[in-house]
Amino acid sequence: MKISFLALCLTLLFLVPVNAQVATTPYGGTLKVGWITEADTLNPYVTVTIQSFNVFSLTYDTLGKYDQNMRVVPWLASSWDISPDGSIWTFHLVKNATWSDGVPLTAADVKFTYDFVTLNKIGTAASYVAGIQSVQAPDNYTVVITRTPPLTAGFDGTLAYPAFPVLPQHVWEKIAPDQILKFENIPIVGSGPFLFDQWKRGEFLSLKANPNYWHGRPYLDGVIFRVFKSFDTMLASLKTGEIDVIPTEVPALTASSLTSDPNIKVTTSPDYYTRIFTPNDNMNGTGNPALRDARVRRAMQYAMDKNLLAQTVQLGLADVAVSYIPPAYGIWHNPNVQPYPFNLTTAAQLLQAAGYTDPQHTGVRSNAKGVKLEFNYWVLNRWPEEMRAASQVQQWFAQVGIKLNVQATDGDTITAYNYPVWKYDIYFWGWRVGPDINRRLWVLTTDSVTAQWSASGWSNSTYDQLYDKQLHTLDPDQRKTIIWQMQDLIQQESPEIPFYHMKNIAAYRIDKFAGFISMTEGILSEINIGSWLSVHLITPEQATTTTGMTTTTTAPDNTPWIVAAVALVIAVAAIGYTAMRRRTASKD
Amino acid sequence: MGLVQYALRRVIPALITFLAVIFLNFLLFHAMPGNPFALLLRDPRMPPEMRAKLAHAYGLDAPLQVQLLYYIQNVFSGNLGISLVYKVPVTVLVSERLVNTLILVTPATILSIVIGTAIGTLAGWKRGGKFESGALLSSMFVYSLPAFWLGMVFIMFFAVMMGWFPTSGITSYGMQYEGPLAYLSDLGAHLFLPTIVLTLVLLGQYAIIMRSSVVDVLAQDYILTAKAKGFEETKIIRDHVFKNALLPLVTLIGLNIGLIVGGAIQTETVFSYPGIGRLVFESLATRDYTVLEGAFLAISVSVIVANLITDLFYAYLDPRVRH
Amino acid sequence: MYAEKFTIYRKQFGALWDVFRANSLGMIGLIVLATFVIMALIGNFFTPYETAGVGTFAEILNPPSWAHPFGTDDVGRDVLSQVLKGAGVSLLVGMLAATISLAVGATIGLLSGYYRGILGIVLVRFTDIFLIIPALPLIIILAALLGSNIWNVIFVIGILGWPGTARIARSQTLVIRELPYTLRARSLGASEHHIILRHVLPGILPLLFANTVLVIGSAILSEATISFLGLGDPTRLSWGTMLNFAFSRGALFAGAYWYVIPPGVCIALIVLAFTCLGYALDEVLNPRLRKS
Repeated sequence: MKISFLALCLTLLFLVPVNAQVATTPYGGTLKVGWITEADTLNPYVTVTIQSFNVFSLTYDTLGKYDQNMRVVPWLASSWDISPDGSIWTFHLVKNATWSDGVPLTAADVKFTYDFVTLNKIGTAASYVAGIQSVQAPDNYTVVITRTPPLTAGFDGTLAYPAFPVLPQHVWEKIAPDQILKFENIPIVGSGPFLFDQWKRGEFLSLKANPNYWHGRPYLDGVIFRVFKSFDTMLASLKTGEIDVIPTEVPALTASSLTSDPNIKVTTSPDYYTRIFTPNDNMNGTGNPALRDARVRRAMQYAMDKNLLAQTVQLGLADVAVSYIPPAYGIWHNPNVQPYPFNLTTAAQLLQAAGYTDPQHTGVRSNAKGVKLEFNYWVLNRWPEEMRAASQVQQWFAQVGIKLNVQATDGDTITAYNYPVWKYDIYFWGWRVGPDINRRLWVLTTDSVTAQWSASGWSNSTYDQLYDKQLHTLDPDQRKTIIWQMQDLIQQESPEIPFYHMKNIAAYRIDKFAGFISMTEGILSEINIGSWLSVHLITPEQATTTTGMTTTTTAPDNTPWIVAAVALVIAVAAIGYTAMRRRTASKD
Repeated sequence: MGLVQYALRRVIPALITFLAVIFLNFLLFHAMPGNPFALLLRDPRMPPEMRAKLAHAYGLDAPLQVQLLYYIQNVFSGNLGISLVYKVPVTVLVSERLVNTLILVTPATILSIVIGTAIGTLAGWKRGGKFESGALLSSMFVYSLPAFWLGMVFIMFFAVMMGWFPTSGITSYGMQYEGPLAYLSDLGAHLFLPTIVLTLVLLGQYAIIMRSSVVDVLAQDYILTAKAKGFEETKIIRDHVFKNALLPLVTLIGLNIGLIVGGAIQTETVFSYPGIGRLVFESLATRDYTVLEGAFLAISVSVIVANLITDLFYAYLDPRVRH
Repeated sequence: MYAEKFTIYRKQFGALWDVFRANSLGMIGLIVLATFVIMALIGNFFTPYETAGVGTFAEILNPPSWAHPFGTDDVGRDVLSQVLKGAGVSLLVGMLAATISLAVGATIGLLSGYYRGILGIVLVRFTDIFLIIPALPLIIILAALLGSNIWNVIFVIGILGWPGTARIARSQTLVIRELPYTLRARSLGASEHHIILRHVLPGILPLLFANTVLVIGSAILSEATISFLGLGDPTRLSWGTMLNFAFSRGALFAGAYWYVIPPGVCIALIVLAFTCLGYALDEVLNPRLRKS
């Protein structure tokens, strides 16, 4: 008894200093994040922006999460057991999770989340419930998911991506089936570390800390996502401290000019984000029919020097894309895909072989049916660097007899002409669907065309078959072989021509907040919940217990303008005075 | 005739111009082939019930003449539609931004008129001298400067390199001010560079116009009479030259308000100043056609009203025009 | 007969030229304009560097040096070469747009001044309306709706530049209409067609010419603004697009003054040249302003 009491005291002695260290990480502060793209909607079944996923990752929970090595580890489910054949997954939920309106989160909510999709046939979430036979909730904190053979690979990924979070049954069951896609979902009722505060479209979206979060409240008091119309304003705000972080899409040229500021850190991380030259491959579309011919697309590949573009336009901060799948996908990325070397002569020969000639030297090739190689090329107006690239592509194409009409436009226009009308020639776009390789491969399937997610409208039965095969191949090596094969096929058919795999470039101030954790997709992405929960104010002095927009921005020094204004007034008065005096003094 | 009667007579052409602008708006946004409202029906951001509402409000299924009537009716009842991006009524958005623009444009216009007229008067008075050529040349140079470029240069030197002023916006975001003085100080810091840019860009034309106006007046007989009578120069300038030279200037200020608008659009864009000029540019970039249409209408109406006011002011100064 | 007319024209022109030469403002304008024409010619036929497409990584945003007197831009292209090429574009766009304005404005102005009836009144009101409607927002909207290629831009600028010209054409037509030789021609039974073409039109041309020179300047300014706002063709070089890319790619923050200053100074100077010329011509042709 005495010894154990002594042991207890000693243990307590050890514990106290550790606790004291943990207690010095201050709570408080509102992190201000800059967005150049705004979330489109907060309805998880309707949204297409990754910014919405960002908000979901903070206001909802998923059963698992990605750790820094991109492995799916327990989260809302504190553990799970998998039956030997892999068909039965039993999840054990944490017991203290609650919804933001106070209702406790139970297994019924998880069951509801899956059943809701199946019952209402919600197309955009279909891949998350694919192959699931049933979801049972035998007690309040146990969920049993039974999957039908043949089992699909990558099931664990569906547990960890915030596009498919656990939804509150008591909120969503009240929605009539035809209203589901129109549901605004504001305010969000979620179980996540942050609570939805307000959203003023075009200006900002704010979240407050959830004091009852099952994992412990976050250090931050709140987060404000501030929307900017142009990058230079956002950059200026970062420099003055009006915002603290730009988590993604810092343009390469600007990143280099930021590195000289001692208070700002620029980080690059691998990313799943590719910028892609996207022709209209849809057979039922009204784009230029020449683009439906893979020979023409291959010729275009030879006519572009992606290395030069990655160097000059992205300042070497992006990886040249050979395979359609970025290297960030690890073993699924095929490094042996045959590249198309830059060769204008080969490009011209291929076009000739495909029947496009220019006997009268007009500069534009056409074929026997009169189809001219003249394409409208749309580039997003918020990517000026890609417009520069476009003018170079235009030059190269002109040398092989293709006329490219470059136009700057916005994302909504592109979407409006994309599906379901397929009424465009070529546009330049970016694909970013997160760590799930299935999702990334899915966007080139025929299914994605019907689901209105495909960017190019391409449809190829071999690809579809391979997709289905890899989906049901559980052995990683065999699956890898198939996925590598798919990448070769993509390269061969070139339905979409990736230019570069972007790195995530983020910039953040280091004079106010600390605790940013870097992983794939950057410091504050939709999968980096660890970083969000770790970011905190630097010194205790700046901590505050009040919520809301506490700011640590020092008031800008306004003396220069006051001085200048006064000087100006004096100058004008002086001019006026001397002018009047000169008038009286001078003779005509 | 009296000033009031004259005012009423001038209101009618202003109203006609207003109707013409409405018609022009309708033509551009609703009637042209490939017009934005046809695109609207396919716009993915448009919620379906909004689509139905818009179709009903604008009568998009009705023949063009009926649509025009709908549109006129909407405008006169203050319904300019809903912003596709912000999801708030266009009138709310436009009036907010208009106020911001007035805050920027008013001091700039006053300053540019004062400085411009001073320079112009002096140049006109001292005809043939070095001052006149110098003033004229510099006024013309300043008049030729692109407003957006001047803004860029100022931002680069005074805001980025020197750090004396903020680079953009109207106030620092997320600031909590200790009092009204702090707020005004922040506002002033943000307004300083854009105001200077706009003033510089506008004063050139005022100087040029005032100079030729003064020259015209000086050639008049009554000036020679006054000089022959031996009146003092300042007295001549004050009593005769200035007032009479001012008259054409007032009319020309009215007609050249378009220049103020153009200057404001450019300045606001470069400084990311949330005024109505920038709203035009923004709504264009985001294809927010309801806002674009409404902003154009608001700008045109402001110009018509300003023009009317200068007309009346002219009539007040010079009773001879009232018939 | 033609030889006589030619000598008379030559003498008239010679007299005007003497007056013009004495006008220092006009001479400055002419000299500056000549400089830009030379720049345009050099830019069109001989530039030391390629200006289209992109350059190399090493050459991005280099400050001025012997190899690149105006430094390089955001994709490594020589700024001086682009400035030279841009001169040609500005001149071309300015003149084409101004020609459209002249044609439209002269027609409407002349007709509104000549015909006093309904047509005249309607045309005058029409002109007044377009004088008031602010030009830049309308140009922006039209340019955006019609699409961003250079011909649309020229068309839009030209189409919206006519009111000022029309006003001048009208006031001059009103004067000429009442001149003795016009009245005489009418009483002799000459057709309206003949009077307009042979009497009125030649009479208004000199002042219209002075005005058109000013319009060229304002057209160049409009094109620069439209291109800066990103409504022009992003792949077609002009001073405006140079500034557009300088702004949008962060040259301001990088402190790349060599990229920002030259295109803007050139725009200002070329517009200044046309403005000075226009005013000088106005003085030469408008007796009241001539120095005694």
